[in-house]
Amino acid sequence: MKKVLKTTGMVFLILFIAANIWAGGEQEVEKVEKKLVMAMVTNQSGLGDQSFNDAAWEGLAQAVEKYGIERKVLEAREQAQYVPNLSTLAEQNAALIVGVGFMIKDAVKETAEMFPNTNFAIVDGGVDLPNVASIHFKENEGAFLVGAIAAKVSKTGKIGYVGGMSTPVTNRMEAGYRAGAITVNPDIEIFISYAGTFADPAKGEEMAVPQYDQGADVIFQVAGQTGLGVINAAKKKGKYAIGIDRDQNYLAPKNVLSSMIKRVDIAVSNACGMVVNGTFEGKHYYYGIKEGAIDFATTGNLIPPDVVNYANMLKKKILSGEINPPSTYEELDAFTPPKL
Amino acid sequence: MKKNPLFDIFIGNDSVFSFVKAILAVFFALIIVYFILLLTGYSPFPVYGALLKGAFGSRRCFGECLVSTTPLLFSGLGFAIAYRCGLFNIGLEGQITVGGIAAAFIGYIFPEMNPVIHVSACIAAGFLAGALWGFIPGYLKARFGIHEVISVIMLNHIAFKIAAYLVSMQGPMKDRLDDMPASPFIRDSAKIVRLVNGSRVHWGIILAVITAFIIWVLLFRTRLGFRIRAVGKNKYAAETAGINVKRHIILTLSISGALGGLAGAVEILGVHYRLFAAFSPGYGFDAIAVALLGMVHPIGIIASAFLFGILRSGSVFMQAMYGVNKDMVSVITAIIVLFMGMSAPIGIMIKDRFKRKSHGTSV
Amino acid sequence: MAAIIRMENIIKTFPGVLANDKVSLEVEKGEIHCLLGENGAGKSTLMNILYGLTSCDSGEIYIKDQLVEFSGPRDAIASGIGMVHQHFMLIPVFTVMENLILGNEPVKGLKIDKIKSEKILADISGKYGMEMNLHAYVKDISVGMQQRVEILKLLYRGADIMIFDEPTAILTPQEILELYKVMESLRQRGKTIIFITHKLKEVMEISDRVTVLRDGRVINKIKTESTNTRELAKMMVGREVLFSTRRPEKRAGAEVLRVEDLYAKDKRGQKGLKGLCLNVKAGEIVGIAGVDGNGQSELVEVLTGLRRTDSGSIKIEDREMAHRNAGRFLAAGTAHIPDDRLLRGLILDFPLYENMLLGFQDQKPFTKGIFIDFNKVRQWSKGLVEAFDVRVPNVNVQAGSLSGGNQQKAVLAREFARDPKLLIASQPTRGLDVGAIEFVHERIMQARQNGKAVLLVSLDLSEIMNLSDRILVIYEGKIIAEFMADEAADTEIGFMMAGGGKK
Repeated sequence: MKKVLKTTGMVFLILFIAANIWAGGEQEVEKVEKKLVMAMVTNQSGLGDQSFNDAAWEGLAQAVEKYGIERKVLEAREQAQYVPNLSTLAEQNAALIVGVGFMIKDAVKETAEMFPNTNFAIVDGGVDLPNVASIHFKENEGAFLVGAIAAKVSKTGKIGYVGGMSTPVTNRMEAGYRAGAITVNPDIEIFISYAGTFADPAKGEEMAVPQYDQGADVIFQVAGQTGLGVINAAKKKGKYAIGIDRDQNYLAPKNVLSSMIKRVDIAVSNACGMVVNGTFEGKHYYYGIKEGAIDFATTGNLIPPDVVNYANMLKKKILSGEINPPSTYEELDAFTPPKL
Repeated sequence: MKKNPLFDIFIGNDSVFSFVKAILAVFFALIIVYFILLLTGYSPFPVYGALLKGAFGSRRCFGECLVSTTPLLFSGLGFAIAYRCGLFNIGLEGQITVGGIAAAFIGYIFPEMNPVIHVSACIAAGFLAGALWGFIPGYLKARFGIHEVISVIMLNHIAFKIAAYLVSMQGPMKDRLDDMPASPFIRDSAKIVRLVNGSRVHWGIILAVITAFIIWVLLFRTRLGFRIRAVGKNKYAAETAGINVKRHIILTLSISGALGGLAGAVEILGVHYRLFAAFSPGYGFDAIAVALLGMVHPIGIIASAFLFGILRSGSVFMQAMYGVNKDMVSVITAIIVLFMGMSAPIGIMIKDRFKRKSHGTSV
Repeated sequence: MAAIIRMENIIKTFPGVLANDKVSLEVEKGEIHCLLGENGAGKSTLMNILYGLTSCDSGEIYIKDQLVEFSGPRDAIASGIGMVHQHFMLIPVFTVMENLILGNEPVKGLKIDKIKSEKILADISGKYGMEMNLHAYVKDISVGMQQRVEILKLLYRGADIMIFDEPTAILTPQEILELYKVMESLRQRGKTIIFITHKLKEVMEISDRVTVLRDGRVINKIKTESTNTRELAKMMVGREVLFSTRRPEKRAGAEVLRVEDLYAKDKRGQKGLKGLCLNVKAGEIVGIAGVDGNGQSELVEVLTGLRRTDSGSIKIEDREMAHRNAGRFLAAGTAHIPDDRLLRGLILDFPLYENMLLGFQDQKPFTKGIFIDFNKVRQWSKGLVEAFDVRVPNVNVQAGSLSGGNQQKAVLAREFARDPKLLIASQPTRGLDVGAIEFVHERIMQARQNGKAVLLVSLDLSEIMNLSDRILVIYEGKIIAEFMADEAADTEIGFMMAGGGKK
């Protein structure tokens, strides 16, 4: 027994020394220069989601370049952690705290009330407080464009849509997408399914396969991690998928027809800039095609040039206000396809 | 045998010894985590410092620590009472969920009223909903012999999906004026008041501690508690002694579920103020570890729930101050939990050594 | 002849107990040596030390004149010592052969050499007269056969000193005789056997020499042929022991229990009781004699509310009790000494005083509203423990830490404390040693004197004959014969037990 204890002790001692050497001894000393710290709290998908959170993180990176700030992130694992995460950052005197996703709305409101002198921003949510900038995107505009592209490219006259959960944002995209499609082809058949989760690729594949089997040859996915399964299904079936938030062509260069691009990074980096320049205001900001924050991707050249031109034409009409893509089901019902 | 004062103080006394064991378990865990942190490029001691600072650094931090302690304590007690009756209730997460649904519903459906009445009504609703969610598996077990673990897993899923449906875009409890998938906010009169300014800690923690004492008295001082424990330790002997085993299985699972329901109700009424699909981040599953580390004893569970509360709130600071990766934080807390679970074998090891030693001196 | 085993001045303490106090044991090669003592006398501790399961605090062990120090059974096996435990260490879903070679398989390449193992095993079993089907599954063979497998396992591993820990406790009389034969053949082939027991008859029948232990000390070492049971009993218990209980005259009173045309299913859902009738009067002991498995346990369970009746009537003092639960039976004045005290009688993890409360948990004076007054329970338990001579330091000790005899005394104390009208005692002396048996018999007799109705169910015919006023023979779920105590001859009863009356 004693022997065992002694040996274990020795092993631990050696491990201790080895580990210390391997780790390179002392960590680097604290930075002398004090920079403005701007931070974000992710939603439950966290960094590495290839879309939303990563894009916001990139926005902060751009701000680091442009304004010389320091960026920081706290990843929330659960709903209950939003408030402590936001408050912790506020206590550490972050100059701007960005909350990502609509689920964080209550928490941003509560924390912003608790720290009235700290600037907050929320992506995809609205909080009416003087120290909170609410960032909204006109996803319906982008969805309208990819809807039109899908309808143009489709040979079967059938296209699909796979949403994550049924949320205001996904519903808004669905409305825009359907409006864009019927603008091109009033008789088009559109399959709609919601997977019920943003985090399950297998579920996404399960949703996409029947749509393809029923004849859809393009599916627009608005489903976060779940959407990766849709793209996978497209790859297996040799059909097209349309990506979301960022250019997702690299995931399947032959199958991701286009992506609806939502430049969260631009919005976040703008918010940082406003704080640095002292022009930060607690109000609602809307980002659309006009602000360069909504677009469609052409990577891979899978979209025929005439369709690209057609989409660009629609884009201009949206800019000029000639077309108003619907953003809710009610608006969709009232929407009449423009004569082109 | 030669008297050894150290032995008598720390190991001879059972209640002190269980405390010593728990401390040692945490200590061992910290050693292992030390290496993991070093090898992944962090300096361990500052990170530990951050953990403590996150739990005790400010009034707000300590408050956060108590905020997570509250549901853990309720559900830990829920697991414990079932365990004392020989039942393994891993359905607390579902029971928390239905408790939260019921409390939120009563919280917003009625107009503002006397807060005492409103809060009590909400808590009662959560209690009853949880009790129902415990009664079902209890009845299934007593009547048809369906193992409670199976049925509560299913009931967990049902509860989760019901909650998700209720607040989904088309769900009946969805707040139409808000774009979040959540219920309307509960009335001010249904909110559990916060204890102090500048911290989210609310009266729920007091309620939880009182509940722990009630469960303690129930288990060890009352007729019902005696019967529950008898059924748990030997149902044949209990039956022989004229105790209706089936009835006590149903009753105990209902009480256990009700405690889960309380956890959910208090979490909604004191923290979130509205219902989300997954408002409980797995408190019902942590409850198992909380109860077992607390030696399945209500007073021990107060301590272990607090310890888990420290881990939860402290881990935020580990991320904020040293950028320790989210998953890394999970690994660290999981290792600590793992070692906490090993406190029993550690105890046996120590006792063994002490015995050998004291025998050695007596010869 | 030289001693093959010499244990000298063995001391072993457990917390609060001196289990072995300078015990010395000498066993000669080729003898059957009995280790006799009551439960808790230190026999098992001593053998566990010899087998390396526990270490002693001081003392020396010599095997074949060599000083040895075992740190585990592995070392003991290597020195040629083997042990057959009371609880078998067999895997039920393996065949006999697989169990035998487990951990020591003859191999050919990476595979087990089945042919070779079979041959080796057949040789061994043939040599010692223990033929058996090597390919049967252990779960399918009888307890006696399982014990043989254990013995064969020792032989296969090359043991020449074999420890048998109370091997007869679980065997039928027939199987005991078979075991004696096997032991005899082992001895003839030079094996040494240490035989742990507390049954005097067995000592006299099989052993060459006997060492008697009491309270952790060696009382005597003696050649078996130079002693007798009475002397051995005195050594073992420390006082004179009465072997038969004298039955004072007592006239039976009013009828307490009346059972008519009782039907009930057994554990497997088959018919267990098929129209059973009996009655018991106050101040009378009625014994149920029968071969195991003829409905005794079903009868006891039905009469205590633990098993559902299918049809028929159970009346306790004219109150219909069929279909009532155990609580109602207790309330109606039944006390139950269950045959399996570990399963039904006690909660081993509970302290003794909580065990004493079982069945009283909802009764005055222990309750105060919804609460239990545990101080009162402790005090009351203390009184019971003293009255029934349960040997414990205090009533807070766990029931599981008591010896079998003390556990049974505790159950008895509790059940008599109910002041029952009807006492149902099922195998009340199973697994007890002489002193404890005597005690239990005295108490049951006392209950009869106090006017209780007693139903005694036992597989031990001598116990039934000793105690009962009337003897009923149960066969295939029915009472098929009745004898008055004075007119009963055991041969006649035995004949009926085997179903003789049916033919």
